[in-house]
Amino acid sequence: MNGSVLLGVGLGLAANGLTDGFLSLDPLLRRPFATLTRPQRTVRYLRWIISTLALAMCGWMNVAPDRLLALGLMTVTASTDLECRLLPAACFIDTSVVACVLLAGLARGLDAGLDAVIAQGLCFSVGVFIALWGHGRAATMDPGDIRTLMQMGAVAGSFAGILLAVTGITIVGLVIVLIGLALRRHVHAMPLATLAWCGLVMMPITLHLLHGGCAGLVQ
Amino acid sequence: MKLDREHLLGLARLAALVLTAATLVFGLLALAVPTLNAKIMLTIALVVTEIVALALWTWADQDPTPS
Repeated sequence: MNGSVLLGVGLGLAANGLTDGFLSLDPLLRRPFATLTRPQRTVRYLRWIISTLALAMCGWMNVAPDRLLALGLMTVTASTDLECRLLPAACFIDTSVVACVLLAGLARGLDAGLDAVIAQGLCFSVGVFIALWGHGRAATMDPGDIRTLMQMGAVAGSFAGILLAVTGITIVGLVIVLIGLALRRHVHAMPLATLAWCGLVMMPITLHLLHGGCAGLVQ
Repeated sequence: MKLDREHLLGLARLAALVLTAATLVFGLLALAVPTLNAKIMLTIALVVTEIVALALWTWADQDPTPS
């Protein structure tokens, strides 16, 4: 268990470091630390602490290493979204989707790899239809959000089943469109990736609480 | 008949919509089939339709939502 916690902490630090690299070097994001205001620096410190602790907690709950790696990749996407409502380069998200599928396939066999592919495909199509439905009603789905949903599907498909992933993404998407409808004059971009990441982190914790130990479900 | 750019974009969005629906159908079928071989074939079909749909959405308006 100590090894899993250390892996979670290491992945959290690596994901935060990679996020800072994206935020400093990507010309679209433009958020080097030196240019941040005091509240923005507070958000950055909190992001480092919360995401590292969350991955450490997943490690403590005995989440398998390949799933911790997938969560680490999702952490980068969620972190850039949290700080500036923008996502890292599309090639990072596409590569992450492929990596999550390969991780699932290599760690637990062909069937699990196929499940991850199916989950990200279903999340893609459900996300597109939610975006089409929400468009014109609420300006909440940004370019790149569909890729975020694909990444969430690829991670969640290897977590606790495809139906859970698709149901989760449908609920998240509908709630976001409804919030956008209610606050359409004030909200221009929702932190979708951050919300998706919170759902993914909560999944093993919920399973742990429901079943008194998630080792049998997530190992 | 000569197609202008707007017609082409409209056709691309329609094709992308059909392919997105096909992705959904292939995914649901892949969940339902009992044999591994059928699941593999349906997953390959899902990936192909999804990649083409994503490329068409991106080409049509840089965003899966219509402009």
